[in-house]
Amino acid sequence: MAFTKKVTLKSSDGELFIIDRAVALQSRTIQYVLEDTNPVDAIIPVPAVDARTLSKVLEYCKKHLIDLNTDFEDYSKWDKDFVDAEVWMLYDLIMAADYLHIPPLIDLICDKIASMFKGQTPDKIREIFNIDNDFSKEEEEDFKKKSGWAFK
Amino acid sequence: MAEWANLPRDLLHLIAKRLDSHFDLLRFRSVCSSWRSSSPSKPLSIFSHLLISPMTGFSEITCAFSLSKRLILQVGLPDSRAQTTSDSWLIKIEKDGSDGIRLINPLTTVKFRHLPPDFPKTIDFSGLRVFELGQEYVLDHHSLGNADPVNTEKAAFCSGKGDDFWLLTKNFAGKLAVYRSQDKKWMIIDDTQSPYHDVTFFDGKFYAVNNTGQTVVVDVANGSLRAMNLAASSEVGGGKKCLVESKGELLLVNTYFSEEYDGRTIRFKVFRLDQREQTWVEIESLDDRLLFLGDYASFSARASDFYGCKENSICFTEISFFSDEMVDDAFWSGTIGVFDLDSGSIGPLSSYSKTIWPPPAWVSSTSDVSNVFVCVVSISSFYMDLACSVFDISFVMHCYIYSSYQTIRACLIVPWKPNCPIRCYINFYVQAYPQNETVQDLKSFNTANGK
Repeated sequence: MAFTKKVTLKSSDGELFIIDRAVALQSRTIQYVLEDTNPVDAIIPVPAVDARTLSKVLEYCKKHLIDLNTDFEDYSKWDKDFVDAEVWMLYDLIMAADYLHIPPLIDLICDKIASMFKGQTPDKIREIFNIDNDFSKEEEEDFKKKSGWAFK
Repeated sequence: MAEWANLPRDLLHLIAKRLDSHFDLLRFRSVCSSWRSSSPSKPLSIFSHLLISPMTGFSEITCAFSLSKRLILQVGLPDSRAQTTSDSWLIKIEKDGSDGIRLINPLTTVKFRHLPPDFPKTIDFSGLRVFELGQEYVLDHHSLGNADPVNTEKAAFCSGKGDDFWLLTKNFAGKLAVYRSQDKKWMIIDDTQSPYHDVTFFDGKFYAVNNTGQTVVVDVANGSLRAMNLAASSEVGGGKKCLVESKGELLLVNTYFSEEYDGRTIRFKVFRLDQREQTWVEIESLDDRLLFLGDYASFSARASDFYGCKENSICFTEISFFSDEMVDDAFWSGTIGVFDLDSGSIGPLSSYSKTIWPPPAWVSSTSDVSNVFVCVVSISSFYMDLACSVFDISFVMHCYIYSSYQTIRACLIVPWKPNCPIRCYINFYVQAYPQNETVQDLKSFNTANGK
C-alpha cells in the first residue's frame, strides 16, 4: 500500500499547503478523502476554505498534534489566544471547521462565540455580528410581553 | 462577508446549547428570526418548595424537606444607554406562587416588602444586561406540627439527565448528605470526625470543606456517586469556612471571629485551590473582584460594575451592624459588613447600598412609560372614600396633596398612555365640587394612599 507521509491541500483561492498526513487526518472530511481515494502525491482541493483561513485552521491542527505532551493548562491558554480574533475571522473559522469537520475546533469556536453573548442585549449582539433585525414591531412587542416579569 | 444570520442551523444550535442562562438564551433568540428558530426557549428555572422525600438519620424530628431555588443576578442598562458603567443592580429573585417574582436581599433571605413607588410593574429583561452571578439552593427541614421549617440548610445542586438531579448538603452533625431525585433516597457520607462547613457546585463537581480546611470533591457526573476524592488536604486553621467561585477559580474564605462576648467578625483570609498540588494557597488580592458571602449562597462580581464598591473586598452578613433604626427595608443594608483586603478594615456597608437597595435610579425608567401626565384635581371629603375605592391607585406614580381655602387639591402624576383608563376618573374628580374640607382629611387621604 502506498503510504505518503505528506498531503497537499489546495485552498479555494489556489494556494497549496503541504502538510504532514497526521495533521490533515484531524479533519474528518480529509480523512474520508484519503481513505477513499488514497491519492499518492495528489492534491486534495478544499474549495470552501480560502488560504488565509486554511492556514489558521492548519495552525490549530499542528498545535494539537505535535504538542501531545503539552499540559492541559498550556493548551487552554493557547486555545484562548487562538480564538481571540475578529468576528469575521471567527465566522470563516467556524465555517471552515464545519466543512473540514474538526469537532474540537468547532467546540472551541462555539464556546468563544457563546461567551461573547453573555450578558449582552440583542441590539448589542446585532451590532457586534452585523445582523439585521428582521422581526416586525408586533413580533418584538410580543416577545417583550412574554419576557417581562411582574414584581410583587 | 460574514453572514452570521445564516449560520448553519446545527452550528447555531451548538452555540445556543452553551447559553445555560435563561436570559442569555432569551436574548440570543431575540436577535433575528433564523437564530430564534434554531433553538427552543428555556423556561426560567427558579422554583419554590419542591418537595423532597423524608429520610431517617438527618435529625429525629425532620420528616420532610422542601427545596427552593433562587437566582442572583447583576442587572444593568445596555452600554448605549448607561451613563456610567458602574450602576449595576444586584438582586436575588424567587418565584412568588404563580407568575410573580419577588425580590430578596442578595445576602440573606429577607424579602423586600415595599417596592419604591416608581418601581415598574414589569421589567423586560431582554433589553437589559443580565449576568447570572449565582444560584441559591435552600433546603427547608419540616417537622410534624410545625408550620415553619425547623431548620434551613444550604444545598449544592447538580442537574442530571432530564429531570434528574443531585443535592449535596450537610446534616445536623455536619456530615455530608447526598440526594438523588431519581432514587428518592438520601445517603449520609460518614467519612470524617470534622464537621463540614460549606458545600458548593463548581466546574461540574461537588466540593465540600470541613472545619479544618480539608476539602473533598464528589463527582456525580457519570450518573453514579463515585468515591469521594481529596481536593485539598492542607489545614488552614480555625474559623468559618466558605467556598466561593471567582474568575473561574475555587476560593476558600476563612472567617475569624472575636473571642469576646459579641463574637463579631474580625478578619478574613482567602485561599485559592491548587488542584495539582491539592492544597489551598493563600492569596493577598482578589484583583478587581468583590466577594459576597451570603447566608446560603456565595458569589463574586466585578467591583467596578457597582457604584461605590471597592475592589478586593468581601461583603458579608454581620448582625452586629444592625441597629434599631434599621428596621425598614431601605436600611436593611446595615446588617451587611465590608472587609477591605488591602487595609484589613471592616465597616458597615454604606455606599454599597446603592447597588442593592434602593435600586439604582435607572430601574424606574425601564418601564414603558414614555411620558407623564400631571393633573390637578379638587376633591371633597364627601367623595374621599369613593375616590379611593374607584381610583386604581397603581397607576399613580406620585400624588401630592395640598389644601387651599375650603378645597383639597391633589396633584397626580400618572403615566400618559393613549388608552389609560385614568382619564375618565380624572373627569369624575374635576366635577366633584369642594365641600367642607379640613387638613385632617388631607392626612386621611395620605394614609389611605399609603403615601
